[in-house]
Amino acid sequence: MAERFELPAELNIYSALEIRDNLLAWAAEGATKGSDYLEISARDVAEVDASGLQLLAALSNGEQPWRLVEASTVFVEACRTIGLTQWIDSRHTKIEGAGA
Amino acid sequence: MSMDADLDFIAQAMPAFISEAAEQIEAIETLLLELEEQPDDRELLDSLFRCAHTVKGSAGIFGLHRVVEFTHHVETLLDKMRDGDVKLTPAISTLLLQCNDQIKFLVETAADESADTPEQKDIRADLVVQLRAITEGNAPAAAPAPVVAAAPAAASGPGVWSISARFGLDTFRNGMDPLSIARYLTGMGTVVSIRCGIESVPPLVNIDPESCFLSFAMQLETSASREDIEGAFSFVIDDCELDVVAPETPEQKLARAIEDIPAAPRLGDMLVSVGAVTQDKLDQVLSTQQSTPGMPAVPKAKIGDLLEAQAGVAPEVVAAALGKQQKLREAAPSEERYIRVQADRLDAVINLLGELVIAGAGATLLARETHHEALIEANLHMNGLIEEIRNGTLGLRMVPVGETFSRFRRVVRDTASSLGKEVNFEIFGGDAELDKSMVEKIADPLMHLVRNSLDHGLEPPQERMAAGKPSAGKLVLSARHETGAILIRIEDDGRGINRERVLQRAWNRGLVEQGVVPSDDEINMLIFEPGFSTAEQVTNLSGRGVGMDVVRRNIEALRGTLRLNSNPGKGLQVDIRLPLTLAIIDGFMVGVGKSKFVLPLESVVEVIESGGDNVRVDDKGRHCVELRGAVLPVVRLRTLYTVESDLPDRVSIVVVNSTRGKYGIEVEVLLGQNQTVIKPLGRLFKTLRGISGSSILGNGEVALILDVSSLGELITGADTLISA
Repeated sequence: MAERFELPAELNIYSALEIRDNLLAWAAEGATKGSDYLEISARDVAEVDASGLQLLAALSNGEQPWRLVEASTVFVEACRTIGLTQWIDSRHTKIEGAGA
Repeated sequence: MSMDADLDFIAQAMPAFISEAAEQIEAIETLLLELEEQPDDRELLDSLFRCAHTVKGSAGIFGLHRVVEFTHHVETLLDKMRDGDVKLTPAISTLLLQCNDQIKFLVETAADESADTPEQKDIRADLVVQLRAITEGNAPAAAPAPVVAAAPAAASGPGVWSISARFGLDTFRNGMDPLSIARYLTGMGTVVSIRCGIESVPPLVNIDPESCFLSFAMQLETSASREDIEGAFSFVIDDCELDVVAPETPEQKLARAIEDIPAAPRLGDMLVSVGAVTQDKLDQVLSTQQSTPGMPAVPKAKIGDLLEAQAGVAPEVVAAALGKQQKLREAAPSEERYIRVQADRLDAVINLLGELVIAGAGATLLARETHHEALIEANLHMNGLIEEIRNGTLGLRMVPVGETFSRFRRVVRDTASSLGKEVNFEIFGGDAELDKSMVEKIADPLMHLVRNSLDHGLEPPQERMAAGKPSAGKLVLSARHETGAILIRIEDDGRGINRERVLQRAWNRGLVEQGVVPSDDEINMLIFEPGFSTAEQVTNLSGRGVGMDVVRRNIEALRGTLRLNSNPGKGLQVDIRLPLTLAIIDGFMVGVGKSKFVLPLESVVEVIESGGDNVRVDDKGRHCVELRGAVLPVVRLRTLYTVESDLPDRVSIVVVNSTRGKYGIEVEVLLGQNQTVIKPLGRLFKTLRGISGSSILGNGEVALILDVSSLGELITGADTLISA
């Protein structure tokens, strides 16, 4: 299993089905290894819509805990706008360009 | 629903989607052109966005990815324009118009992947590049300036609004994005707090990623109005539970909350759901209501009154709830104001009604024979009603001609700019109605005439200035009803028809005999002769020598007439008169032997008497008579359609006017004029020349309707048919 899951550049409705399948396969693999946290990176996300964020919400509503380890400005801005700050406020998250 | 049933449904709904999308696309074009004139009109921009959104959304439902993807880029640009980041310039407007053409192409070829040629893909890719250049190039790095906040601040000043929205399952599939809505709201003021509700989102294993399970609750400090806030949800409002609570007094707040309940059939439930009364209290009040002695004559106490009296609900809250109930009741029927009906079903009904009229007339004839007063009376009454039904049904086919007219805006705009001319295009009387099939058929000829005015009529700006006219030309398209007909007029203030040049050319081309000078009107009409073109320079729009004669033929095929009113140097006026419908004509009935024929009344010029032996045969085998010194070719119906009967002593010749000039039709009996319902000929008779349809007479006999122009062609073209 890859250490962390890299979300693609397009986190939106056009790729939602594919991301879901990939994410599911990857998480299932992680479950068998008994990792504490699934680590997700949104470093490359350049386009995002609510359906993309909903996928992560679906992940949150599953059995395995996960955390965001890295995120692009676009992703962070989207989460703030729609009110999903619980993910990005995590201390573990390294936010690219956040200090700038 | 199974997958197959889904596919079935989609296949069935597809034509409806395409026709609806076509309407939206047309609307986009109209809106864009209007927006060019009023770039600051917010409503136009919103409607434009909504149209694009609808196309994208419904294309999404049908899985038309190419349409969705492409429209998405257009929408992004429109969104930027709504945010005020991008201003509409003529260049952007042109780009958007081109994009709209592309969307139209994609929708039209939705079912046919192969139609999407590499060239089209290139065009599309190029458009996308241009769109992106604008949307990304101008996108400011910082958050966009709040649009609505800049609008005239409401007198009430800013307040904190509570906005909560639960989005419908199909939100994503309809091409909507709650994130954009949140972003849009953010632009309206200061977000005090926002929380996204993800409780209803199923775990990843079960989720359908294309369904939406999200909701959000936002506290927004803004001076924007309720309309502005709700406007942000206008594209999702149909399946979104939206609750916007204004910064108001508690009572008003409750009353508002009731307003925003999407569906609340029962008063009590409504009040409970907004917290005006508890469920317990409501139950208690309800039981009091039930236990009121059920005397049939005494109406039960009203729940509203009871709640006011016993549960202490404020009267204005109850009033709001009652108002909402009332509104819900009223709103229901008004939603379906249009019914889409297939044109051929309507035609079938009209056809049957035509038969009913005939059957009715037959019944009246029989009734008269009985001399039974009451029976005759009843029959007449029934016939009157049938007539009304038929007229009403024919009315259903009537559509305003304006839709066709507004399509020309684009043509005028593009044509004028490619010719380097300036033009003010005006439309009047777009609400005049015309039979749908006529509207479709008149579009092309009109287009040609409009182009012709632009190309040949209106002068370039310098030439206009030199002639003392304003540099921008004027082109007016208007329609109005005249007795039983519609008059469509295309009027320009250009150079008019140069009669001398027209005549010179007609002489050169042998259309008019050298040296003969016809009347002014006749000279004008020469431009509609086949093979006539005066354009000194052949442009790619008109002037290829084809067209104007086709225009005339098309209009005459609709039994319309064309008239020119030219004022050299001042302008040209083209009048087209069309009958309102193709289903009924004023006919002139004639008989040959036992057969009956109907001629369109407007083609009949006069009737002359003729002894049977008066008709001579010329050297080409044509029958001719002498009419006031001129030779008139004559069609002998008896011979043409081999009618077998005894030859009468005297015959009449009906002189008719056709596209090819006057000619005569030899008939035996004149039966006078009547209104004739046209029935199309069956497939067997489609090839029959000279006959355009049939009509059933009151006594059940069939009369054939003569097609004057094709009958005329029989005379000039196929000699053998006549001499046989």
